[in-house]
Amino acid sequence: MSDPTASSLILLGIGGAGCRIAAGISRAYGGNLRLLTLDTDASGASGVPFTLIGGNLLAGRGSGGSVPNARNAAKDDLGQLEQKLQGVKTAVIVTCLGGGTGGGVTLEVLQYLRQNGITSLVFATEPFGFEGEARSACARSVKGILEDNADVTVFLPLDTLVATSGTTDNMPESLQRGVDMVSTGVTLLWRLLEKPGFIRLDAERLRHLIEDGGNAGFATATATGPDRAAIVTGALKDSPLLRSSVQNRAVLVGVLAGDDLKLSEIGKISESVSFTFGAEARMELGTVNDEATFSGRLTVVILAIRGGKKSKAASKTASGKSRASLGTPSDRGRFNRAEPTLRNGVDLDIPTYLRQAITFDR
Amino acid sequence: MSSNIVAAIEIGTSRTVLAMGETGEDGKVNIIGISDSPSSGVRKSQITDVGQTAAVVKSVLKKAADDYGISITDAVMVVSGPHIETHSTCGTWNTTSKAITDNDLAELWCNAQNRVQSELDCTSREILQINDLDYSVDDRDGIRNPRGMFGHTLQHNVLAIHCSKACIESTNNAIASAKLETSRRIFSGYCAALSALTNEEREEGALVIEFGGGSTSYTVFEGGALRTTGVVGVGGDHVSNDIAVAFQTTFKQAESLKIAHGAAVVSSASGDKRIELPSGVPGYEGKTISERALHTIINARMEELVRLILETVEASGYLHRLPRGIVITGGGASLTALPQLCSRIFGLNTRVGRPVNVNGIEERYNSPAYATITGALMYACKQENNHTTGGILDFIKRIFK
Repeated sequence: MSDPTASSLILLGIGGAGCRIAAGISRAYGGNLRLLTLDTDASGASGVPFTLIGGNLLAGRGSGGSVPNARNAAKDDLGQLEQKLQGVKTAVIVTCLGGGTGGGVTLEVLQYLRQNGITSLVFATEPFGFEGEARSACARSVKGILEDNADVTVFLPLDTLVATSGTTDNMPESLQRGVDMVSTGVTLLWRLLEKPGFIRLDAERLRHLIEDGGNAGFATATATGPDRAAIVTGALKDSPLLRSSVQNRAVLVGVLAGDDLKLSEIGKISESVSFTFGAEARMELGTVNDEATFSGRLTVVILAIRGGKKSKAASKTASGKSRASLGTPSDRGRFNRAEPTLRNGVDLDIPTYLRQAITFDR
Repeated sequence: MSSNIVAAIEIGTSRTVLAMGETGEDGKVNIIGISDSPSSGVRKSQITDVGQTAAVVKSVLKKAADDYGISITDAVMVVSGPHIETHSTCGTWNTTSKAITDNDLAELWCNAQNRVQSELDCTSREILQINDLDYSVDDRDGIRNPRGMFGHTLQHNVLAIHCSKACIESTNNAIASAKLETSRRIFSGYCAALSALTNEEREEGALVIEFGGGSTSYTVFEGGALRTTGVVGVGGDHVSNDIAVAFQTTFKQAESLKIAHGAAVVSSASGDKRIELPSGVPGYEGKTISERALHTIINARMEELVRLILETVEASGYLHRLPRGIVITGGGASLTALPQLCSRIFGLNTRVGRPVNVNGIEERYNSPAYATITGALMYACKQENNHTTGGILDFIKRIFK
């Protein structure tokens, strides 16, 4: 696509690490993709379209690890997104939980997307164990509300993600490896959607898959040689990133290879996916034929979506746009038996901190 | 009750207030006395128990009689709550004489009232006020006083404020049970603006936000006239409820925490301090809560509320016509750092509004919590003066406003 701004699919990188992942995807993709990065720290922007969030409140110095600070800052600046999201139907967000901006700004952006009828797929990494309990707790505090506001969420625990690479790194290398692995995976997904081969899987089909909501597992595998199809299907079958006790409702399968891709290989992958994820799961398969990039290699990308529809706390407004409606009647305190104070489908009698998942230490 | 003394009553979610006064020689209202009591049987600005509310009204009437020796039988009633809405309409009148007269304007006022009644569902809605916005004379727009101007076609833009008839009838019931008549009603947000805005603010453009216990109203004045107004069904009780749910306290304890330690922003001053909270029940230990956590809970609610008002003011088109900034009134306006929060969110200067256009107010009532009732008293005095001295237009306006 020559003009990325004409695409209905946008990549949003949020927070410092989210911006780095997005920049990595942009480089790998040759820069020709619709992209926007958002951060509360002005020093994080480099070579990609960047919007500073909360300049007035935080002076471009970051959120200080505070989710409420980042959320308040984002509320001031969401108006900036209107022009930048013109024509967008689906947003893929990459972010890292554990800090203030990755959690806080992402939540506000998701609510904005939902209000504007834009479907969202979020890739959110969870911090390594060695990063400490404070960052883990911060990530845990926003996961629930993030799920409630995104259409589909992919949580990628960095410990698990890096363990699948089979390498042992020191701390900075591990962090970089985590960022690189997410970049690589999402780049493959982007190629699949924006440069489809003879079996098309485009952005519109992705949107239909994710608009019913849910959580997803995401993994990739690559192999070469005559048994490459068997090797990648075996690796994906065993991937801890795809393990779930919940029935998958849909599986997106991307097969990326050079000119040597055989129909028998596609058949083998399709059969294995159906066996692994259940015949009931709707399968959407697409291919990319790119001899220059994948010569001799076979790469498979899997996005396995489970749950959805009834598991979301989203409601549709009269305009067809969705809004989050969180909390339960038992949270309304002295207003328990009173007529709810509704505004755009949200019950304002429920304490704000509960609806916004603001955490605090009593 | 002396023939010149007028009264106004406000049954709020938190307090019921009766104010008495008369017009002084300088034209300002002299406050004679204020009698108030905590409300009962009111939730979210609406009556939930007529008997309890009537008992409180009786008690403030008795207090007025005991403290000031004045027996009140008739008062202007202040109306508040999210059931209040607005309706804009425009009427046209072809003048019979070349220069526009009071008779022309009186005709326009009658037409405006008929038009508003026909455009609203008056079986369920009651018109509280009809406010002049401006006039057009032939092709000349934005005229405030067309008297004496020459033209053939006169257009009149008005803003009607109306409310739920059912809500008004419940309040009436409670007041009538206390043997008090309320022949006139007035919108609380308008009263707050009358009392707290200076003439310059009313002329040049200012926003009044009245933070009540059950709801929050906003009113924009510009060019000396009320331009737009509205009510959000969230008030100080929501803040207290959030605190009560968060820290598992009684509502009363939450109220005390909010008043004594609350702040609308979480700042570096919101340190690691712990606040002692007695259990209130003999034999049970009290507890401590984090001041920073308290500020976090309050900030979340107030930030949301102020942003809701920002959204509606922006939608009305008046956000960029407020050079005099924001004036906050109501009991909630005393919350620490609320002016800073409003300033940050709106990007406008904000001050706390107290009754500025009255004489003789006791120091304890010279607070934003009493802006509405003093404004209602100003309105009552003005109506009384028009009754005795006004011409035909005042007579017509008095009926509708």
